[in-house]
Amino acid sequence: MKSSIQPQRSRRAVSSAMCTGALWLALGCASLAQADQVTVDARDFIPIFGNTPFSESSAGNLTCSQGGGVNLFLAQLPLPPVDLDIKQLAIWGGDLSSSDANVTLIRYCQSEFSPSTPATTNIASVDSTGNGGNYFDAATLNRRVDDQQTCIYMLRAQFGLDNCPGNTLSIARVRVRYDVVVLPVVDAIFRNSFEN
Amino acid sequence: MNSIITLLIAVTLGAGEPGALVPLTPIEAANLGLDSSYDGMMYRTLDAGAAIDSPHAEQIEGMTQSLTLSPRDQRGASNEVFFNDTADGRWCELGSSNAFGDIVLMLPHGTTVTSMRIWGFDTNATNNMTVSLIERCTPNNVAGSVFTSVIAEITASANSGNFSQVTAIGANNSIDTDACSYTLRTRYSTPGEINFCAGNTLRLQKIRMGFTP
Repeated sequence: MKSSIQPQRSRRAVSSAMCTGALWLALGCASLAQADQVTVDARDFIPIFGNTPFSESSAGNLTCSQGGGVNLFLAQLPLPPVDLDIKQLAIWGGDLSSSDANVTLIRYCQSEFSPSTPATTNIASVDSTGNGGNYFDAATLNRRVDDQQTCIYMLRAQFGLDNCPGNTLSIARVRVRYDVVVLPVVDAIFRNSFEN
Repeated sequence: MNSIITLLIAVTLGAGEPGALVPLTPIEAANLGLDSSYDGMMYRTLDAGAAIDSPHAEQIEGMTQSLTLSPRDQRGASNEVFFNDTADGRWCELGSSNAFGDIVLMLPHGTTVTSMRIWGFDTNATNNMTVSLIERCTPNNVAGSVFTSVIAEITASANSGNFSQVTAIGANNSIDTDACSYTLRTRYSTPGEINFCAGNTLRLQKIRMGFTP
């Protein structure tokens, strides 16, 4: 559903101390980090089952159709292909229902060069709170992602626990904030230290 | 009350200037598949529909990059959009009861979008295809209404086969992935025509976005 270009710069605070050259070892800095985020619009989610009825709410958000039974949708999380630490999973939408909307960040991993059954790991999950209208909810986490050679990260949206409650429950967008891990450049001569 | 708030927002945003945001009329909203009754929170850039068919619309020397999107990435706005395609492009079948296909536009935060060009095929005398770049924003880190803006739009008016049209995007064009998301919405018919979709006489082949990092 998407074509992505990798983020090139941060707009939020750099979260790690600045460490350069020989100070790196002295200060014990493991790495630098650049904060960034990716937003997945509700229009990027597709039904897990092809015959699932869905539509848009008046706000243009994703809703499932009551009576359709199936209430699960998936979207790929287009992370940049570098090591990073996921810091937050956030969701926006509308909730006038006694049921909640849920978004789960899921990792699917397989062997790098051989056939294997995908190993599924739920990384984080967020539910909509209240039923008074617009909602924002977020989960804070600190999850290192250094396995994109073998794993793919997906977002699964669920409307209601068992059955779709209809257009009283919707998802507008999902945002994942992360810090890109920038490994320090090793000095070829002194290897970031003085002579051995 | 809503109309007063809308007027205040429009004045604040500088209505009247070429890049100003102006409220969508109910008809404009409906033509995009949007619900105009939604809080009066839907806008368009004043000159969003001004197509400029010049290669200069796509070039800022030495700076501009491009992102090309395939219509095969489209998802229907509902499960009532039935797509079909050949090498000549993707179309929406006559039996559909919804006219819209969406592609999510993923560009880095801080990028400036400068142009949108579409390629397609049109041999339909009564229907035209419209592609719109739509921004959807929420308040940052709090609950709130979705603020929808049409940033750019092209309606392809040819009906003699393959076509390509471009529009420059000069306002409200900074990508903000912290608060917003971006969708390219294609309407496969002219509003008011009898069928939601025009069938294989109206096909989308490619969309190319110009941007500066």
